[in-house]
Amino acid sequence: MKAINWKMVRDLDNMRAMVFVIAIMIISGVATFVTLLSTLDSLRSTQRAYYQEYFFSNIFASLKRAPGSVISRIREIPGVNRVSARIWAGANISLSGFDETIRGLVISLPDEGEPLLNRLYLRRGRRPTPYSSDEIIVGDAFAQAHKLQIGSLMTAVINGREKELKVVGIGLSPEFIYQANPGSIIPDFERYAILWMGKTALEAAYDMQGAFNNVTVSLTYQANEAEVIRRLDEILEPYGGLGARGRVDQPSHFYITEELKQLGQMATIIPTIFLAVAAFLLNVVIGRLIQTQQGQIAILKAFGYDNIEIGWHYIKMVSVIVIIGLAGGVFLGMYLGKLLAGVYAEFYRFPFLQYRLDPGVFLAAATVSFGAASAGVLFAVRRAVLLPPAQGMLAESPKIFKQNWVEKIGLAGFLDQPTKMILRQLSRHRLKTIFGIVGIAFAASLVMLGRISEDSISYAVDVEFRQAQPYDLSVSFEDATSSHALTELKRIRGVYYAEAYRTIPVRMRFGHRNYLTSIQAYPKKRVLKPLLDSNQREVQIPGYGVLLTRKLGDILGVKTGDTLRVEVLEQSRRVMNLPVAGFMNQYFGLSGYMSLEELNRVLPEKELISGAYMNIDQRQEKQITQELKKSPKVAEILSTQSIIAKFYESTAQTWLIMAFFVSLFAAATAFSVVYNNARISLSERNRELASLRVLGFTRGEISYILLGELWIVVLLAIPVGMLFGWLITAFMIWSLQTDLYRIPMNITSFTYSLAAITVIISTLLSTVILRRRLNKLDLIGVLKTRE
Amino acid sequence: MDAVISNTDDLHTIFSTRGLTKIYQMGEVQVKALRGIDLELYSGELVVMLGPSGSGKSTLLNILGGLDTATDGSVTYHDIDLTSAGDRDLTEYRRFNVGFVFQFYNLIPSLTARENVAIVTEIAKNPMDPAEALAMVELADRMDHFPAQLSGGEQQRVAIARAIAKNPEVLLCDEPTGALDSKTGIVVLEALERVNKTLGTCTVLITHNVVIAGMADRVIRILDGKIAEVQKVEKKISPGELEW
Repeated sequence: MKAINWKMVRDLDNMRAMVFVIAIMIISGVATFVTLLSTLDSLRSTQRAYYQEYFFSNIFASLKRAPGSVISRIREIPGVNRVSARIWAGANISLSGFDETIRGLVISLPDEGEPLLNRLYLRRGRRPTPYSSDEIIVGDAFAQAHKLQIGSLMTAVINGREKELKVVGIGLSPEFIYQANPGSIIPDFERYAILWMGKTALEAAYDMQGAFNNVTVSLTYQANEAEVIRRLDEILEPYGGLGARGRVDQPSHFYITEELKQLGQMATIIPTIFLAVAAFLLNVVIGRLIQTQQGQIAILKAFGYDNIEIGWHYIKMVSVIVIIGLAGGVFLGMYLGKLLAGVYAEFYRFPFLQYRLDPGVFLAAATVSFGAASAGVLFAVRRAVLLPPAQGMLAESPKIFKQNWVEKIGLAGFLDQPTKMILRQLSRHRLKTIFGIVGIAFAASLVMLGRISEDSISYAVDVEFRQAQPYDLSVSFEDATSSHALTELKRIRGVYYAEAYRTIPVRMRFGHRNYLTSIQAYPKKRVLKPLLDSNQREVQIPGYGVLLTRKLGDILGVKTGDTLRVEVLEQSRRVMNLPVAGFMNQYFGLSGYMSLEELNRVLPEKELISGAYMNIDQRQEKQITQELKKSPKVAEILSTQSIIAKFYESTAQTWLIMAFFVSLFAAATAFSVVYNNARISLSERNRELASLRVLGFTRGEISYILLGELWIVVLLAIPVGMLFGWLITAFMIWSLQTDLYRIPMNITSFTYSLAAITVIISTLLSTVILRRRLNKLDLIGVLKTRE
Repeated sequence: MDAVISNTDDLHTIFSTRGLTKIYQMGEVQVKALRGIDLELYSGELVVMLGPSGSGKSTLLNILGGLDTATDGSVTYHDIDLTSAGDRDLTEYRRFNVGFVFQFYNLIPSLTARENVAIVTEIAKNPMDPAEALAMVELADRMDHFPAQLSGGEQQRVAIARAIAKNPEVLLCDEPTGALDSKTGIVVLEALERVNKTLGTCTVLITHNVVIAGMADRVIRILDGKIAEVQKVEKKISPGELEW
């Protein structure tokens, strides 16, 4: 090996502590990049594979009831590939040992053979025996929540009839990757079950012999989906068709797409910011490191090494550090990516996970890391080689120091010499001081970036659930029912107060745009369901017309005063023309709001309600719930507390895990930046500090001179870091908006404190490590060698 | 004072300077290090440049070696005008033609003695084997030691080996014994003399120590950036006979 390469190897060995710490910075940036992007990639790839292998449908339609003969007409629609007609039945389920209401959706399976579409992945067990009347396959989320095994029993009330069912299989379907209860966006695996049963058995239980009430369709290549939907709606309309919808509107697909969209944005922006900051910091640190080699660069030049050879030598040196960081970052990123993707797959009920790391991700990380490091090298080497070698080898002439503003305002007399040294060092090397402050500030801002999900989620939950839903219980009915039901609810012992609401599924149309959603109608005078916007201001429900969430208004392209064509997809299926009364901003969902009185006025079926909100005596919640469950009309009972708990257990969990890793990497970067800054300062001032020791300064006194400078830079960097963190957070929030979630901007004081504390702890750690080095300064060496 | 020897029949000129001037900016102060030097150096000779600290001798050496650039005047090496040479040309010039020995050795601390020599021979056109160069300075048995394991004299001899290993035509030594005691200094001077005789290298040796002038072919005195005197040494003495 050439001598110059040995120099590189041994130089790296001599500064291995710094190599390690710089590598940490690179590992943090690269690992964040690889973790998030590979998670996203893996989930998308898994979703695609799952859909393909298990024949996930393209179009979904529910209807009241149609005879089996209609299926052939559907098959004849141009563009239709496969048709799967099924029975969907709601059920109330009882499990021994679990007192609360469990709602279930029972779906028919062909008695023989596989379904043509939306095939099941069987985790355990088997399909029901052909024509069996009581065997079911149960969704694996529900099975897991209740620790159900093959052979477990449950009781289901389907169509008013009670039936005992036996679990013979536990499975998953691409139709229910995201399993939210109808009307909610939050999964509740304990209280909502998906079950599959043989067709004959379900036909009998639901009085649907020879008929179906749900159909899904797959399309041929290049089929016109809108046209197929239109033709399908035409066919199903006489049979109570509720409006076919494409895959984009299928709830599970919609939610997971939104989630992946948001993950995609987070997975693009966070790591990019991280890597960019890491690259900037790397550039600065490497630049300063090379500067300490100025004397050696001059010697190499004196020997006849040209600028390219010298530049290449240092690029190689730095490349070793980058390779260590890259390798560590990629492996750690892959490990964490698999872990995080596994958490998502678990939550979203994917039967398998196809983990993959796109080579492009690795290449991007490598390019940025090498690019930043090389830029740092070349800039510093260029500065050094521009000097004639003779000057490079000379001791630097004493730098020009002056009194700074602190001294000029008359405080000089109060300052001892070491303190003057600190202040003059900071003001003499302004650029270096600024870079130090900016570098540490960026590291602090990354810590704040890691907290973005938690702060914003907590705030959104607080507004959306706690403040906007001051009721204790909400009850929803199977079908819209007479308002007498409200009177009955109020009579239940322990119920203090109840207010009704109506929710109707609708398709809103404006021009060529349409959206499938719901209208929620509340009494104009109410207390239990204030309508709060994202600024926590109560919004008045208009006396006429419909109020839309801002995002829905944007999708439809309407403004206040425009007339919306609203097709009601239940009961009378009335088509209404409603004026847009205004807009409101909300964090979750896309809905319209009307007054209950106005809705009752425009719909022919009068005084119907979908459910009620109740304030109750909390001590009697259990008895009230039992009483409510007795009614066949009651579909679901939810308490606000359990909704919040479910939210944190489910959706929030994935975000919070990601946030944890980002925060961890941010803290590692913060330590790396602070330590490197201080370590290089020590290298630059080694001789000066050793000379002071020779003169009789104690170790503590010289520590004060070096570390005092560091602490001033750190304390100046903290507020700057908070400002950077605010800016980066604002940018992130703005770019994370999706149809489903509008994340609020909220930075808690804890987050600001955490950023400050992380930087301070990093500085304390660096102080301890450097103090040990200061204790080992070579005093004799200083006396012997020239300046 | 002119350092040009009129009778040049037997001598081959390597360096020629005319009106060489150098002005430095040191912080807020301007320093006129050289004030119009006219000089010629010849192949194979051993020249000692004497002068007090700050007289400009190091500056002159650095410009001859292509380590620094002149403010005014000209320097030619054979037919090459060094004053108008760019960085690339000066690098090439140093690479193939000049060996340097510095007062404080300037060895690479992370390389052994042999590797410190090899770092130069690996980029030279027609170098010696590093072991051979180290043998010439009597360090064959210390080849694999790091600078930290060598005495000052040994380090300086490594530096000499490094300087001569490329078989340079010119050897420039800036206070090679300045950091050494007299006994060690003599050892170093003996090595330099041996190299000068064996390889026929034009050796320029800067020192403030007048005694060392005794070993030179010519002595050039520099004072206040100008040549004060040029003297041919009639009777050279060997380094072993020097005493200070």
